[in-house]
Amino acid sequence: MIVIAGNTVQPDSIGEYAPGSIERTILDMLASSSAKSAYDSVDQLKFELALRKEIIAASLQLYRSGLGFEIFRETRCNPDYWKRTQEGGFLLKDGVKPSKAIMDIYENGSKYGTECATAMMIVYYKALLSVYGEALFDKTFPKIELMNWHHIDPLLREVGYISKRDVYLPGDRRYFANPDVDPLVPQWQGENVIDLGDGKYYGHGIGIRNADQIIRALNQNRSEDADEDAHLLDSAGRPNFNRLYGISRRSAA
Amino acid sequence: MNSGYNGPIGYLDRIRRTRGANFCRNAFLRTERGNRQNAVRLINDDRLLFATLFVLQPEIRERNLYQELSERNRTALNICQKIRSAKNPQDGTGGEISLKSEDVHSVMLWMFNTGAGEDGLSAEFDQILDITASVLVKTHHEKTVLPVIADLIFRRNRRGVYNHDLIWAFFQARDPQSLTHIAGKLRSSYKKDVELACQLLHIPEDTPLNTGRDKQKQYDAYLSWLKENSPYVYFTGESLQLTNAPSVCGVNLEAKYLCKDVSPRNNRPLTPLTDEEIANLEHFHEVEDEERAALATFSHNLHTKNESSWNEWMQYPVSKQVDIAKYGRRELA
Repeated sequence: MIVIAGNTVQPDSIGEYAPGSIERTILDMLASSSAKSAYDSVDQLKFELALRKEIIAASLQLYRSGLGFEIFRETRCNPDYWKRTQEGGFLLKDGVKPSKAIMDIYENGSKYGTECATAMMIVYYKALLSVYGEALFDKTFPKIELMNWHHIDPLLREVGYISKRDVYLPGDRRYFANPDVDPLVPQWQGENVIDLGDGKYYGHGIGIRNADQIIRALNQNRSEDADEDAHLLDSAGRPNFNRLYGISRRSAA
Repeated sequence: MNSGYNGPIGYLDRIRRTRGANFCRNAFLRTERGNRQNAVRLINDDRLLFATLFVLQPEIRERNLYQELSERNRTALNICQKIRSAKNPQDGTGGEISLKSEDVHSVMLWMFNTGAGEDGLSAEFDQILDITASVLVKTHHEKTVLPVIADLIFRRNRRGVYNHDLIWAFFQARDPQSLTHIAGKLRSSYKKDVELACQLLHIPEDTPLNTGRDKQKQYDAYLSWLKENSPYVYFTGESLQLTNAPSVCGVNLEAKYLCKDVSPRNNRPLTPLTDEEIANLEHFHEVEDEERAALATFSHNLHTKNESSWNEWMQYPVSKQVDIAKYGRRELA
């Protein structure tokens, strides 16, 4: 159920979202859930819908960018924009515009190679760049370090936490765990993915697949005596949409 | 710090440590050209450290020395090749050796225990250490390496280098007692050690840990928690790849209420539940969430102190159990 400023509302009243659109799908899922999804205003809800839509778009674009897969020890990045850290993350270079550096990953993906968790962070930054626009994005994120949930910007720290949700929505970060992974290939211990809706997920290195296909790929990298299948965890990571909306609103004021 | 190895070292190790890897390689080649058997003897020295064998791999290949190596050295090089081929399966090598064999187990112990102190030699060397640790823990259920892995994790953390795979390997042991190796770092004078220990043990960020006294208090509290809960601790599999705040283990409150040990690996009781225990659990589920932890703790404490009183208490309706847990009853004291 969707509750705005204390009143239950129906998806039709939120805005002109076409049937079958990402936004309408999310609204229908929220409305049909028995759990209460509370917002202070319609605009706040619309911001979340817009950001979720851009998270999905950024995932699809990253998939097509040519971004390579490398384990953290062997990551690579374009040194014009990023400095590779000792841990295998990418640190925004001094004097570089954050928006340009993020866009470079999408435009010159083959110059970069990293693990699935870093790809999730790239997706969130690109989505916020699309929603905020260059000026606000550069002002909000003057320092960026891309790795996993380490050294995460305080504004995005919630995506580093994962917990059980009442309803799972397109744009959520999910995780496929592979508890019996072959220890020779620890990079297959699990796959961070973005829920694209329609049962599809984007996971860097695996691509755009449904849950069965991802589980099959992970299962192929289990140890010889494995007795536990890979599986999708009953939890999700989400940015704090409300806080990110607050930044957007204050900037517009 | 526990580098895992404090024993004697070989001639080539001394050269490598004092003069560097390149000097060691040249010295080895010079020896081999002058007296091949002498070079073979030096490299097959029982005291040799894995790091030295690792840096001499190109020379061993170049001088066709593989067949003359000791069984330990040949196995170690085969393990290295297996690890490389897992990364690049297309090169089609390294498939011959089974990592499950007992020979591999003992060689991997040598590789890790003598190699841990040389961490940072190269990215590939560090990766081989990580994977060796993972195989020892996950495939061979080897627990003796856990203190060495724990120290390596914290040394890497101080240097700001990648340690997530090693952290993952450590918790794959799923051994409640291994948590003490992490807890020990709560008392460290290095802030980074304490921060990482808190992160891995899921200790709240606002816990005061500024003074030596604070740290000792938290350390004692953690050990006390572990002593009380270790029979009921299970490992979740959460890692830093999944979340920034992994909850690596949890306490099975049902098991604690029944005072029944669980498997840390799968969170299932070690022995099947009796009909009476199943009935008791049904009552336990009637209790509000927030009261369950208190009830489980009371049950565990009473069971530890006085088993016959505990048996009596377990016969009561759950509402009475809660009352006694909250307010106490003289006859059960």
